[in-house]
Amino acid sequence: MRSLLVLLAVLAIGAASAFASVYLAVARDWQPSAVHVGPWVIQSRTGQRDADPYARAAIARAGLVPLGTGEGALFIAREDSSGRPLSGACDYVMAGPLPSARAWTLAATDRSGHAPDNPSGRRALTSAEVLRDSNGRFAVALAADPLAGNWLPVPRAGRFTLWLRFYDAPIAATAGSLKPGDLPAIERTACR
Amino acid sequence: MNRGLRTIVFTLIVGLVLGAVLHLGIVLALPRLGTSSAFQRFAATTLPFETTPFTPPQADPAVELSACRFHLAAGPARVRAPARDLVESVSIHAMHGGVVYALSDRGASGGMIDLTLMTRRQFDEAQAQDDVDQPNQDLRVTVPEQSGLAVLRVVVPFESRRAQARELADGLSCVAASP
Repeated sequence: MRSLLVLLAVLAIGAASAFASVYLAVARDWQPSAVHVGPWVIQSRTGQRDADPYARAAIARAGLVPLGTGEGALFIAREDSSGRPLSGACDYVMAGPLPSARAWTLAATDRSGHAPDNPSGRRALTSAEVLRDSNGRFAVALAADPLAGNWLPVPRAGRFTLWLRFYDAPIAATAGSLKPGDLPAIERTACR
Repeated sequence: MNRGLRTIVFTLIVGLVLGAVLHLGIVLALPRLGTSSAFQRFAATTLPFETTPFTPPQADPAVELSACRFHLAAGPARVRAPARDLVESVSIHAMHGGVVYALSDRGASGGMIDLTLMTRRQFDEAQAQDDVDQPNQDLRVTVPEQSGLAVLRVVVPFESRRAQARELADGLSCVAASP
């Protein structure tokens, strides 16, 4: 009787802890191989055959088509360089070096993945569109209201996510060796 | 330590070890158990080998994307994509998620990205049949599953070139190749 109770308890604890931990890991998108560099999170291995099992599970569950390591890389930011969540109530400037790539694109969405509504119809900023100074440097204003120059519309309210994508870039394979100074900083300038 | 306490500690430890083993098993099995992978969503509305515009979750708004699904049960498949002056790339995704291979238009020859997809067995057979004096020029990619998705991404540098990018993306083709 006693050993039967112990066996049942072992099974119950095992099943409960397994399902709870799997749910937490996959629903929260926990990826042990993600690289954090400054405000950016780089899912460096999702584009390879040996992606970690948590990344695989998250990709299959969400129906994603990740960029392969041979074609590009995705950098995601949910916080500014000071570690505060990116908020549609604030304006930001993104500036700094970018890894070399034949093309890059920058887009903002709300936390459910929807692009912001704005009269300009602009949904992304690309490496071909961006205006640079004579040294090749540039800064991008992230704001809900239109601004002159390099402007990316962001959602007017709530937290948002920045998606920086590099195409035909060797960076995907070497993301692990990046330092914060190699990537653009995201500085908050004003809040409403 | 009395006997009751020992039993409780023992139960907890064995329970948690069992939980860890189950956790790993479930995570590894999830991609195969699920029904919402990109391939499964795409296959619900398309025919085999048919090229269609595709917008998966978290798609880049500055990219035109097309996809076609391939099936290798009857033999190898050939994936081709025309390359012009826009940045583009082809990626091969296994049925249960996971990138098998990806190549940008810098890997194009004669204005065409051209891949031959094979299972491991088809690859071995093809290699056994190859003529030693005339090396095969195909870019052969082995796919760990029988089915999957070929995806062509064309970057839209300016909004004014979106139509051209779409046209290029529509040029993706998946065909069953004669072995």
